Amino acid sequence: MVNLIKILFIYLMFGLVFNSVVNADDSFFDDEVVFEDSNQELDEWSDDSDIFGDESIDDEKSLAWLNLGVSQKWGFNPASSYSTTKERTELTLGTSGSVSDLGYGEVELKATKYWPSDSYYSTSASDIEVERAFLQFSFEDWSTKLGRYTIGWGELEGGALDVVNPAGGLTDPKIISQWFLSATRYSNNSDLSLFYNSNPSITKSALLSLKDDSDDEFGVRYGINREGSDVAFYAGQLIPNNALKNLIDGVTYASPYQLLGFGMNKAFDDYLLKFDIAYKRNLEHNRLGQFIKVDRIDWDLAFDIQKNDRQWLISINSQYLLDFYEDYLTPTLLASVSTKRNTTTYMASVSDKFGDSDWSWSLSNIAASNNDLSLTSAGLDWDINDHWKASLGASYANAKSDRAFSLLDDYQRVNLEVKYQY
Amino acid sequence: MNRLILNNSNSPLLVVALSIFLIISVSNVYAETDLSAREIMEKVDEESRKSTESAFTRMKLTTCKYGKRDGKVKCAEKARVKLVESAQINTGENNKDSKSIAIILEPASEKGIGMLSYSYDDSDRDNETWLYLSALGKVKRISVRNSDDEETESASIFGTEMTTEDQETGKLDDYTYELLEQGKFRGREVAVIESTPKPHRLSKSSYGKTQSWIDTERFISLKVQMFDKYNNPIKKLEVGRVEKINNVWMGRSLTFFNTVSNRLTNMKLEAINFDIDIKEDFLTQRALTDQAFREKYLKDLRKQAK
Repeated sequence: MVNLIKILFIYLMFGLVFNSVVNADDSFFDDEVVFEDSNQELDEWSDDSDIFGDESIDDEKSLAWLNLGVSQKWGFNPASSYSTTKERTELTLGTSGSVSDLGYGEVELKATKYWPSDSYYSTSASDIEVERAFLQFSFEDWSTKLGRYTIGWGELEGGALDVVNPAGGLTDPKIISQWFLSATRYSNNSDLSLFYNSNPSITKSALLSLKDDSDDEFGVRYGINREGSDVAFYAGQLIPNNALKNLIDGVTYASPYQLLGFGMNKAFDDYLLKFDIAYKRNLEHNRLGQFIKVDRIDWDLAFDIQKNDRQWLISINSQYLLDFYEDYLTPTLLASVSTKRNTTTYMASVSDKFGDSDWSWSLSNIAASNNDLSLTSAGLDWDINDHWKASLGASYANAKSDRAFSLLDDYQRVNLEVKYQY
Repeated sequence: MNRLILNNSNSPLLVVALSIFLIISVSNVYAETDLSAREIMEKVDEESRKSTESAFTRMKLTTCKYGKRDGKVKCAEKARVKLVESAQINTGENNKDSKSIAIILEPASEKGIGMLSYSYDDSDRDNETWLYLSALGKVKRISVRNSDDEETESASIFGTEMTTEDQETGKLDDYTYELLEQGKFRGREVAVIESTPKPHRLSKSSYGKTQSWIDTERFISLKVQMFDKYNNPIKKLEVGRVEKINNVWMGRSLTFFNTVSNRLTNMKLEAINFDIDIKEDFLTQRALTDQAFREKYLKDLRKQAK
């Protein structure tokens, strides 16, 4: 398997280099092509005009049922002489299509090879996982879906209501799919959906054991679509996506909590306003000498702004403890720090395109209240052609060493990814 | 994530296909050109709506940088190709609003992305667009340009040279029309009509004016020249392969030339079918989130289209 991936990777790298040369030949060094000035008239235009010349443009790809992707990822730590933190090759294979007259299915498997310099290599040299696999059936007003996929709640990604699927965290926001059974009833301008998950995923540290992860989670969402605005109401019993360490016994817990929520969006000119609010009951928390349950109000407010190709996202995300005592504590890697009653996170991001939209850049900053954390990320994506893409990203975090995000202090990474998709 | 899909793609393709025909419609009754400019545009709009009602389309969008070689316009780089299926119906008062969905079949990286759009004739009502982000498992409303910021241009559709503004239909009251010239163009009798947005519309438009070469027998547009607000030509639409399909005259190959960036997008209609039974229930957010429902419906549309 490893050899196969190696060979495949070498072929693809060769393909990338070769492909780039061909493109460069076609695009930039063909001196027969003279670009016109902006006032060019094309009066000779006719039905016989053959813009694409001899270059045939295939109508459809062969093996249309197959989705194949190969990506090579590297990560480096500038704070440690650019030592390699990530070096892995991922191969994804998938297919999708109708299942009988009423159904639809998708499957995507991912095989990952971790190379020796990858920090995960000591845990595992390779693995295979189901990225997505579901069957969906539709009957009149009802739809049911069974399998591994993602369910998005709320308006803001990472916001007060985006609590169903765990994500990799601030430095890796990739959402992790889970196994669900869900059903939705569609009505005029509204829909009611329910989900059940018997084995919720919980992000936990390998150093700590998790106490009892046998609880189920379930939830209901009622959405209403109106002209210029969408609103939705939420209720459910959920499992925290991140387990919490009990400072008394050193064991981590992820016990269920209850949620009532409301989310909405509204379009104003170029702006899209997003708002979420959630009441969360029975969240576990540490207190001096006690491991207790507390209630909390989470809310977020965000603006999506689009100006030409430039997109801005500005958001505020707040968590407010309803019952609060000065001896509330938040665990850190080695000890604990005092908890503030209100924790606010601010985010601003911007992205734009250039170079005939083949290139795009992005910049974002996440700042926590009291200057506990500032995480800045920048990215550059190159859409090489319909099959090849490359991206370069860099992140830097500055955190107070005596606060909850201390683990991220002086976090630095440079990531590079090359991806082929067929 | 699916951000790339957006490619600033705030809008459904299909409307483009069809609205572009705005301009491209039927009728062989009005060969006389004693109609006023406004009346001609009304006929174009009216006939266009008839011809685009309940349409199911499969189209190929090809985008590249262009230049001239041996005196002919040619792609000067490897072209990007997108294959899209779309469905549209006209709704609302006098069927002047429209609902549409566009689904990308290729390339693989964007396969399955669906975009739903509601377009309103009334200039006081803002058009609406939603996109389904499968990686996030939810539908996202897209902010569509309606602001008065003169520096803002309409968003490009699927990263092509077509913009959301190019897809708009109706709103005839938002423009003044002037008949510039009549004569022969590519062997057809045409009227060249200049459409100038009224002040309230101008502030929302990327174009200071457009000039359309309208075939006064078939009431289709053969060419549209777009100008910026300083009267500079910035974009051009050339309509080719005009055919009569289901008693409807239309161009099967539409090419947008961005004469500023020297990029073009060719939209080739591989298949277009009118009077298909497309239920309004299909053109809802359910078609984005419920793939089983969507596939079942599309299968039925493909069968009808054969």
